[in-house]
Amino acid sequence: MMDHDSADPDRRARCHDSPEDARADAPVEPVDRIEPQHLHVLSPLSTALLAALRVWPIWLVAVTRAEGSLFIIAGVGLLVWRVAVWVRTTYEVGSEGLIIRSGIVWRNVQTIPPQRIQQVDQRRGIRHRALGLVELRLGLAGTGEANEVSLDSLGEQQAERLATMLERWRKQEPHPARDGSAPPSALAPPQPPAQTLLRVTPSRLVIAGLTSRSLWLAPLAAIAATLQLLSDVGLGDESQDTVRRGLDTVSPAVLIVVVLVLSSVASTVFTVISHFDLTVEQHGSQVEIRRGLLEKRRATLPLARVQVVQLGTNPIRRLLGLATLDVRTADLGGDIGSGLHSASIPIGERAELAALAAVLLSASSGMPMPEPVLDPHPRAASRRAVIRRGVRIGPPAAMAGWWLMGVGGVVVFTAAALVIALVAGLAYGASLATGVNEHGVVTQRGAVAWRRWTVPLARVQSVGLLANPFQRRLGLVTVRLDIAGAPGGVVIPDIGIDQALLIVAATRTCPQPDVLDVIRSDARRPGSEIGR
Amino acid sequence: MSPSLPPPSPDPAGQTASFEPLSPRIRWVWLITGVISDLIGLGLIAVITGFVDVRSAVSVPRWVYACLVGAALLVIPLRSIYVRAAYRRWRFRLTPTGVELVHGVVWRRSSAMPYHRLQQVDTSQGPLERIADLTTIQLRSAAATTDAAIPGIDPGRVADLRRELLARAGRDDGT
Repeated sequence: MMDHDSADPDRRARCHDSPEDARADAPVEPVDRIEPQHLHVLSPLSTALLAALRVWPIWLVAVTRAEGSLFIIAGVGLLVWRVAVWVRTTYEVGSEGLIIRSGIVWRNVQTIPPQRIQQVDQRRGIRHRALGLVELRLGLAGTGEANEVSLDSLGEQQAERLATMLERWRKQEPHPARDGSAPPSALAPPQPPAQTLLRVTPSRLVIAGLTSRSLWLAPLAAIAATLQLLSDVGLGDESQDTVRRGLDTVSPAVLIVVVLVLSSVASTVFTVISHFDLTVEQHGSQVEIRRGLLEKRRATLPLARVQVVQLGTNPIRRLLGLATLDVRTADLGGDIGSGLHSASIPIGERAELAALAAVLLSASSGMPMPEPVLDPHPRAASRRAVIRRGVRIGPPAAMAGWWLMGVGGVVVFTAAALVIALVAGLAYGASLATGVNEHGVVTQRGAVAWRRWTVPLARVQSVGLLANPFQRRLGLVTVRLDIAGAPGGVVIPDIGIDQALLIVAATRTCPQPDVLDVIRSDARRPGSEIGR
Repeated sequence: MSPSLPPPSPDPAGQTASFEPLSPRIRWVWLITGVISDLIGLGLIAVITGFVDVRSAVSVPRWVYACLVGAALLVIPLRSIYVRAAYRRWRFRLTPTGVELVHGVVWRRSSAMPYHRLQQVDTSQGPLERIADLTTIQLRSAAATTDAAIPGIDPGRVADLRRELLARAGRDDGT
């Protein structure tokens, strides 16, 4: 979206005319340059290996048909292509920033001003480690495809030099406070020594894998399997070979259990491998997150770039006092939602993670951010939650009852569904709580999957308010905080109108109360301005 | 409520900035696009119904067709009412601190964005808007979810609005 500087002349012109840039042109120390240079010499080999994995059917055909020539042609072709790419790809650091030239036929020049870099990731996959290489990924602000720039592969020293240079340059750039409440980005000139904030042991990761969402289905599946087993055995025909019959009936149940066990084992192994030896360290104004067993990943995250932090847990983890932490910068890498966003922490003690969240938010929200008092949402929110659940699960339950047991079933199933809706809705409604102070907004919800978002006010881009007729009748409104890097924004459902007004006022985006009058107004309030 | 928060201070000049309506011609654009999309939807239902009627064992009763015809006849009056209400609800204004828009008939929406978050101003004209000589201004912040498109701006106002907005837009990447 905002990556296409070339397609956005206004923005570009603004960038060059602004007084901040004039100041940046007279830096405190001479800005280092990196003359145009290629990626590491072994880079073609490394990327050819990656490409080879992607075209695995060719190797399958070559092996099964025993065609050595196909093997050689494809392999040489890949290598030649990657060498050509390598020859035509150069990067340099000049007065405009990082400039990457690439493209064999169509030349492509990418200019990346250092202040647009949100986050720097270093990845070392198996292929990199075998060759002593590093892949450097730069996360940029934006939502397009081009929001991630990858230099694959650099030598270790090359990568280190580039990363530190970009970081140093970014810090020299004045990062103006965007409004009074936004503190200047933390530019602590004397770098304090690295400080370990969090370390996740492998046993914790095993717990994380075992308590993940996939395991939720296990009890359900076990019940279903047992029911099926019982009914089948009950109906069993005695004249048949009982052992054989038993095997026939057991197999589907066993299959379900086996699949579940395998999937949870797989998820556990995956978690342990991808997050192995997770370490979070603070280096002055930035945080470094290292992890990975096979592929080593290192994310460098300037604290001033943190947009929003989400703490979450589920019932099993809550019993164990554990939680997960998701940290978002404005770079919308492809990993969102998978929990593999390069800054998310898959498991940790809740208190420990809350402390880490406070550190991460310190630069964005004014340090240290005092926790606002969380107020529960109005009781009408619980009422709405109950009704919505009833409407959602009531009719399907009634139909299921009719199908299974006739008219009696409708009554029984509907009653059961309504009780469930009542309990779940009340629990959900009671879990809704939101607080705001001059630093940020904190909102939490979820009786089963509990989540809590902390949004520094300085990171709110815009605010949306939404109210349907039911909400208007109950005096409720849904608030959406638009944040760079949070797809969908942070939504605060069914909050009281006065509480919404506080949030809106705190974000200093539209302090005029009459906007809320407009939202509140409906047919019964013809006096409001917009009703005309 | 948290006691540390000062009471919302009404923006002094914001009180004088009053909401602006859209150009009245946008109603025709909305009406025509709405009617066309409704008729396409009804047409699709009719085609599927007819297909089921002819090609399968199920015979569709007459009243289904009667309902479809009735709905088609009601499209224009219902759309007119809806468009009227939507137009009446649509308001926007430029306050000293930011842009605010309020709209929506059933789902009432309001969005607000301070100028310093503004990254980009896009203007666009669909075919019907071109005929009506109207422009849509889309404001973009660094967040993907920012909902700030103002449809139906008169040509005389577009250049002013655009200039005014860009003059106050943020100077960095706004994140």
